[in-house]
Amino acid sequence: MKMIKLIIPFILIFALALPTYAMHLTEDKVIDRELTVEKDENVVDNSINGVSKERPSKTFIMSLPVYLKRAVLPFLMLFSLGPICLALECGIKEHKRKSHSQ
Amino acid sequence: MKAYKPKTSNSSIALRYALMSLCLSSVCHAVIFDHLSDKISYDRRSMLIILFNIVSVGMMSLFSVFAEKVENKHTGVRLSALLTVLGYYLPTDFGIDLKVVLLGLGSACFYAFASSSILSRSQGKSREIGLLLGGSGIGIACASFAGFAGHFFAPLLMIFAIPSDKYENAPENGTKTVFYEQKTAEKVPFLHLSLLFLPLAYLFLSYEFSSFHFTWNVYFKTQFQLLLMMGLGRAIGGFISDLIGRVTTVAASAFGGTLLIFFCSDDKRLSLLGLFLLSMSLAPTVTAFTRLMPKHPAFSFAIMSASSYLGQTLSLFIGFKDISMLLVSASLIMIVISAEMPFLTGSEKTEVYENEDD
Repeated sequence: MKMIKLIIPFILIFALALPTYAMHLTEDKVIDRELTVEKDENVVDNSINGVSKERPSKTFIMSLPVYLKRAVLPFLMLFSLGPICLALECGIKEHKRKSHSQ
Repeated sequence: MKAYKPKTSNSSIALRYALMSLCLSSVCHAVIFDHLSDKISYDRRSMLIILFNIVSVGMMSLFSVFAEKVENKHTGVRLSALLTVLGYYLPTDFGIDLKVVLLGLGSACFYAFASSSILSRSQGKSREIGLLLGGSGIGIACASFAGFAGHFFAPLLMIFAIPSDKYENAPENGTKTVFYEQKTAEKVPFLHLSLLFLPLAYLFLSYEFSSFHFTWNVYFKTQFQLLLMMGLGRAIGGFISDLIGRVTTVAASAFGGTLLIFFCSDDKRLSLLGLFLLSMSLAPTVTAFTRLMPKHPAFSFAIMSASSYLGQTLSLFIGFKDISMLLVSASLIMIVISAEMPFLTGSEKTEVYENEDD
């Protein structure tokens, strides 16, 4: 339990730092140029979840690194916290079991 | 192992969480749609939506680990409601980023604890998780239709978070903790392939849902109809799956929906029917994956949400829109569900027992 208590603050710091990292990413240039979409009050821009699909056409190969950098890597960093915790818990349990048996 | 059935119905808990899911989803998306629609540039808005998804789905993994250890899961749900409402009412002067992060944390906490509670009781049934997914979809539809929906749903969310006496007597919160675990994961043929392909299929499916481009979808009204049909499809898919079987539901919905969208994408009614049918495959797919990891139901739900997130964002960055990928995703789902066929039809033995470790 001591080990978990020691690790939890670091995990929380990591979890709070990550959105900051993502926020910095938002300041960067994500795509080459901005689209100026003229909006009518009753017309939507063919979007799902509020994001328009009218993007500059890019090839798959060109877009993939941007996709990995902006969306996948920070997500995987955050998502990996769960498995890390599970692994730590299992390790601690096993260590306890071993020390108890000895 | 002693068979045990709870005295209270799980349906009431599932319904409460479905309504909470509707409120929470509506509140989160109302903020995103309302505040970020005109004041912020297009790219900034896209990245904030991605930030919300990163926090909400990424943190779900961590919260799911805690949720599986906690006995009273409604505590986590209450915390999530608090975080969400805090995020909603936080003045924009503090920064939209902080607002979005708080909303994301609330969403992550809610889905981790709610899915853990629902899936640990569902015994392989899809209707409860279907209701949760459907509530989320309908919430997005409400938020897309009316930006002020959040003002209505935020107090409602807090009301639902207050537990009733009936709820407090539910098995997970009482003196006797009951979990349902099926020791059937090892009996599934091609388990590793299923573990790999099912999230992959979900990713493709989510990508397709995000990149549909219908010529008739130009008004807010049609956008609302589209999202509403997707939400209703998710909710009803779970019930139909329990009635006629998971394999039949997925087969009918995946192929029927694919064909309708593939050949009749110009016709509004048929496209909506196709979307409805296709959405019906989500709840059985999530349940199928949960049964592959019966000891970690919340974590398996987090993995499926991660697949959904990756598919959704893929469509934002990569302008490669090919509706034929729908056939790939439908085929993948069918292959994996078919791999489970012997397990589902023949040798399935549901072992319900009391978990004495907890």
